[in-house]
Amino acid sequence: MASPEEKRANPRIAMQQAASVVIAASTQTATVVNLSRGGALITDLPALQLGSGVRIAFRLPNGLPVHLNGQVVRRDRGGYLGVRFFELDDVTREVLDAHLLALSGEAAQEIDAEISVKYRLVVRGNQVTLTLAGYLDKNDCIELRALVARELPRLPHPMILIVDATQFVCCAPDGLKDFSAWLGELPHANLVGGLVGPRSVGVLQLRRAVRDAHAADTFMAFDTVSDAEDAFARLSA
Amino acid sequence: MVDDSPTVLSFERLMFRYTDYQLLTATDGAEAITAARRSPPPDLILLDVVMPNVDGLQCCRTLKGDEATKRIPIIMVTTKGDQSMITEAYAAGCDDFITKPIGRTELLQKVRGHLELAERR
Repeated sequence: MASPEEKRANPRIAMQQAASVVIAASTQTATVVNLSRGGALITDLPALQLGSGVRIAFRLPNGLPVHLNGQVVRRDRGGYLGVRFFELDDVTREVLDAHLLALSGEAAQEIDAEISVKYRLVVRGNQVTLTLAGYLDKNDCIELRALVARELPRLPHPMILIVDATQFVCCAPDGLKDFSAWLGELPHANLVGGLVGPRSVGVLQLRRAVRDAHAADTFMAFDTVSDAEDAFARLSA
Repeated sequence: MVDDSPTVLSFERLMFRYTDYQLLTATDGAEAITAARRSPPPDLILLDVVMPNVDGLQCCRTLKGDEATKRIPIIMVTTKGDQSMITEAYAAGCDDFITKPIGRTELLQKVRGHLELAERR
């Protein structure tokens, strides 16, 4: 049982979210009914022994996927199981914190939605910076597109979109369609964009995605993010 | 700099910031041909391909077929980077091409290179 101090440190947020729960070698569906940084309350699962190890995968209401490992620490007659999470990795902790903060009404004005270290979307004023890193597989590309689609209504207009691909290696060939699709969904009339990075395979893929999205006239290529920011500051002036 | 998009023209102006080049703009091929025939003629033309009225390819053919303007280096600025477009641009007589999104380093290197070549001729 959590102490009052722990409760204050890890406020619980009510939700009703379908989840898949891996118990031993089998995967079952369940529902997450509340969530905190320290644990979750889940239902629609068969009774489990206290101490059972579980892996819970679900999407937060804002669509971000999370995977959490934990242990059953409580069960009641209503079929609810209390799961305490094991130590969270940095990325998962950040995602959870951002989400819980937003739901608790303390969210900052900035959107800082990070699914993984592979991509990150940050909005500051009318500048949107999308950072890509490493290799994006097909699923990453789909999730990235979903992230942008979700955030679209909250993105500023007019918008300066900087795609920072300095650490980007490349994406799966099929992922190009998704890049083009979400770039195409952005309102080009109110958009100027900067594509930042060396002439890597990934940057060439992005250049093509920009062209396929009919956004080539609204994008420039830069060597560094500061070059892009400097250029757009002058353009605005 | 010839482009029907004011955004692209603004971008290109930004890229030539801190250079000594004097910049002239035109928003379609017909305007570019008129400007190129004025005295003094431009030292180099950055020419978009897809434009209303007279497009970039037609403009390039016209300028390269005219004794007065055929020595002006033309760098085509293409949105499509496919081989057929590049072949068509060279067939129209262009000296080089770059693809959008335009990068400052590449643009300045190509402009400088073609101006030096033109000076040596």
